[in-house]
Amino acid sequence: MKEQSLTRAKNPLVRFAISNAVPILFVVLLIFAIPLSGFSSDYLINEIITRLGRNSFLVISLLIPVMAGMGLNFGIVLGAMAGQMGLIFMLDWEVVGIPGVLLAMLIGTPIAILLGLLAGTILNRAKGREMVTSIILGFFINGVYQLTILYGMGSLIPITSNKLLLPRGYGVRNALDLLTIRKVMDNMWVMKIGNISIPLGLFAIIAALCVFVVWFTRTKLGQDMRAVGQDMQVAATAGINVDRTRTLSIIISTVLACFGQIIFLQNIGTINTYNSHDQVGTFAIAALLIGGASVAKATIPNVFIGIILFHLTFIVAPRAGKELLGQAQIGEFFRVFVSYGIIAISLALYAWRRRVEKETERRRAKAAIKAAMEDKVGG
Amino acid sequence: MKRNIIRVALIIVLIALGVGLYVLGRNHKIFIDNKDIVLANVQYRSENTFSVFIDGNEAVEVGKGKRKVVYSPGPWHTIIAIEKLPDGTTREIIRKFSLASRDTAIINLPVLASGNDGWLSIEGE
Repeated sequence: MKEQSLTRAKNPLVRFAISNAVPILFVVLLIFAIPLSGFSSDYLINEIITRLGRNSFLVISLLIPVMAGMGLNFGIVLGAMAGQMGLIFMLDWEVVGIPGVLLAMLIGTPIAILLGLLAGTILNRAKGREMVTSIILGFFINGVYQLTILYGMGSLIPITSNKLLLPRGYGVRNALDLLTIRKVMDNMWVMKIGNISIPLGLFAIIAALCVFVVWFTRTKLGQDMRAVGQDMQVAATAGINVDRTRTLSIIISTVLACFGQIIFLQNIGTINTYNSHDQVGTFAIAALLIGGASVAKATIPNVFIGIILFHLTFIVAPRAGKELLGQAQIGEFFRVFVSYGIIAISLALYAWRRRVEKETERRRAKAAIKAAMEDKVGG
Repeated sequence: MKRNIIRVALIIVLIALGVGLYVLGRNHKIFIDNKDIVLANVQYRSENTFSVFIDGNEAVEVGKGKRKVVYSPGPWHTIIAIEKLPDGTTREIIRKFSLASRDTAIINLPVLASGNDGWLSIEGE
């Protein structure tokens, strides 16, 4: 209903353009940037396939809180931190390959559940300001994470491997090698078409997650989340435990983000212990918004369109910047500018649409009251 | 009550899964020695070079008097040692062995080639 009223233009083309302004802007940008970059199509396709596998899980983890009306969950960094803790234990215990990845997920899950529970509880006390609260919560938990990793590990929490610990005997090193699990999920089942490698195994897992999300939206809990997302008061009147439903949506999102970060890092092959998780929320949210999602509505196609457009921009921008202005650094600045800029534009667009909607509703209500009064006077 | 039982059962299953993954994925250090050794008053001499495959991984060439180390995950392992004989022919020896989760294995190739026991010694961490 809301989406319909947002795009009231009669011309369907104009309506489509207004609804999909952000993805269209990026498509236009890429139409110019791709030829300028000079990359071959094989290279670009390979890169996009790799990045789809690497990032999809993290971006999909944002869908459920949007459905529950909690906006874009910047708190997925909490899940990312849980995943990294799982990976540190996995490295210490010298578990390798697919069992290592699964063990890291298993260790990360209870940590992610606890952090999700904490986030959900706090966000329930900050209704209507979930996004900014989740950003600040991310900073807070980052502090706790750094304290745990820097001072707790090797002293309070047993870590035995000298390869992981700082020379002083406690605290984890800045960068950890993930060679023992590097690309194990990507290489599970690979199909080669010419020069292009398709990680079918990883894509099957992502497809299973998409099926899970679709199935989940049709369950009782999923329907409750939709109801809460549309109107919390109506949902509460209908007997739905609003706070519990919202907390569950954040817990699910945090756990999925934990898995997503592990998949992301096994592809990269190294962890920057203290800052791998920093940009996770920003990049995942920017990708989702570029895919045409909004604070109130996000779908699975938004995820994939967003990752393709966002990462294509990431790949071609430095080279295009170099060809155009003679400096690759311009492209690098552009990448950062795009990530933060697109979030700002999307949030501003959302606020503007909300204002227009409210204005329209107010005008309609005024007209209805006026008509009723005229009827009364006439009668 | 029923809900608590289900929760406890789930936790037990997850812990068991974790232990299973640890055992299946734990990386083992395996030393491969091609050195002279005396076992039970019998001397085994290192005379030939061996190509060794552990669990189908890349071949490791172990020359006379040398030691190499390989890493392989899981409790069950197979060693294929191909001995290069002086007449230019080769001889293949295949053995299976298993390791507990924190074990390190030392394989002596001259003993393995002789067909006697004692080619594998295991050290706990």
